[in-house]
Amino acid sequence: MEELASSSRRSFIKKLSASAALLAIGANPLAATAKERITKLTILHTNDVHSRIEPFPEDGSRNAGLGGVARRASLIKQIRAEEAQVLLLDAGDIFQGTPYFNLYGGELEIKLMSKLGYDAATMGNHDFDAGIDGFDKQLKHANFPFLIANYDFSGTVLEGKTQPFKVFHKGALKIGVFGLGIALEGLVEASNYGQVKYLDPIPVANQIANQLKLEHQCDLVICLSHLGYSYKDNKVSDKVLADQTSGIDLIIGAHTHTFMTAPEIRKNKQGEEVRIFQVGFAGINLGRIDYYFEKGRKKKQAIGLAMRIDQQLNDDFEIA
Amino acid sequence: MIRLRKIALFMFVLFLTACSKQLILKQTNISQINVAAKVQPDQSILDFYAPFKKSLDSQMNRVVGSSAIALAKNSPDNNLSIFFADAVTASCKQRNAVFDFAFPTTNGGIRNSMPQGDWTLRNIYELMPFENECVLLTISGKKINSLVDFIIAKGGQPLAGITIQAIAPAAAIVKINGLAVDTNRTYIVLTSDYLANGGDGIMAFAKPINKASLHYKIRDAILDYVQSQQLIGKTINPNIDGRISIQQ
Repeated sequence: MEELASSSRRSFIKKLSASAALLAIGANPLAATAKERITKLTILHTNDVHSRIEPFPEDGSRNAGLGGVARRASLIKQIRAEEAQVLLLDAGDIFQGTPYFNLYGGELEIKLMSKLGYDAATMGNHDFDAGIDGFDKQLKHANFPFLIANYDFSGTVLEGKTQPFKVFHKGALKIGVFGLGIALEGLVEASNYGQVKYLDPIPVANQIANQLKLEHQCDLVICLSHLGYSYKDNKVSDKVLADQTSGIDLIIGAHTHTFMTAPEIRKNKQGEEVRIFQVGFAGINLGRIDYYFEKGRKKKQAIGLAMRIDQQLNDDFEIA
Repeated sequence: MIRLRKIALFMFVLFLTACSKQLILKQTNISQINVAAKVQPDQSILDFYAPFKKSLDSQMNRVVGSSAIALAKNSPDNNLSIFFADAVTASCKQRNAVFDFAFPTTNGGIRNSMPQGDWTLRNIYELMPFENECVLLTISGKKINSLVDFIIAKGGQPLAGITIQAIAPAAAIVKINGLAVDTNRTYIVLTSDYLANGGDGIMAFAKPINKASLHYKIRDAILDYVQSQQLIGKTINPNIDGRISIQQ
């Protein structure tokens, strides 16, 4: 933090000498403390909670005693009390794994996420396990949006009930969040996804991230991805997504239940940093990302010059 | 005048640039918090789900059997996969189903480990939460090769009635009920409707000669086996018997 303050002061003085016009602006920025100039944003996230309402039982197994939604609620409450700007996100597979889902069809999972104040979630393959009708039935209990950009729900019960992205305003910050789902064929029983169409996530991600960065002027673009962290073959994964897109700052991953000790930092197709993070499964961990922003002039970004609407994007796919 | 206007325009642009200062990301700290016992649970959440839990506990906490050892899938030939495949096999045979070997789930379909000691109905649900049913597929002996390749490529799968000794990825000694594979005959495989319908992309199961549902849930097959053992006073104690080995 100290480093941050001194570098910001140096850059400010540089700007000051470059432009006397700044002096004409009313407030005296020199008086502002570093603290006032820094905007902090805290992202909290889960993935693959799989109906794990209660902690794993104390039965000597590997995850004994871990997790539990009531403990997660305490942590979230505490962090919200400490931090001004918090976003709480989930990367899918909310359903399936304990009898809570078999008995109540996902009602409790969604009600609890609403109580915990989730800001958004995306859909995982197991969120189709009660069929799209089963998912639709529980949607009424959600006070947060489901963000999914590469499933086309046209002509199904879910048409118009999800959205590809959402822009969150937190203080002076604009955060664009969008969701990506995994290929359904061969993973989800055909009868459970019916007429839902899966779209290639790469062109969709490029198009949406571009839209969020340029049109919506987002300071940060987050992808909730249920694609999976990495595969031995060339199947699309979070690594592939990071490498073949631009405009995404953070990929919150899921599906592969990967316990990461540190985020993976990769370079996108413009050479910019993308971070990938995933926190295992079952609510054993709560991911926490703190971003520190500082007021300043942005260098013209390569993304603004080289982005294009990808031709591969399905014609009948509309951004709602 | 034009010069003045130019200067005014220049000043205006300068002013705009100065005002359009954006928020620039300076630092990112990524961490995670372990949701462990030291975190006090939120009472309002506990209270909220208490009625759901009460009803669930009354249905799920019933002891249905017990195991001499803890079961986990940690190698190709593991006690959890063996238990799973043998339990489904035994229950389906009890129902007079006739088949050559069983491949009732992929490893990914086994959703939890099983503890040593008493098993409750909840344990069975967490092992096999899906509603899938047992299916008998009749396939050509010529497809066994492709099936074995799939199994080896995935580092082993839950199997019963078939043994595979493989040196990955090429050579394998495969026996079905102790006999070498005969490509001129057909085999009946016990599997799940999920795998039979294209789940996990098993090519050998595509377009089978015959497909017949037993209308029997895989979870019920496991439960019936566990309860049958409890009834005769036996504990679960699967033997790692080397039915599958993969040398890399």
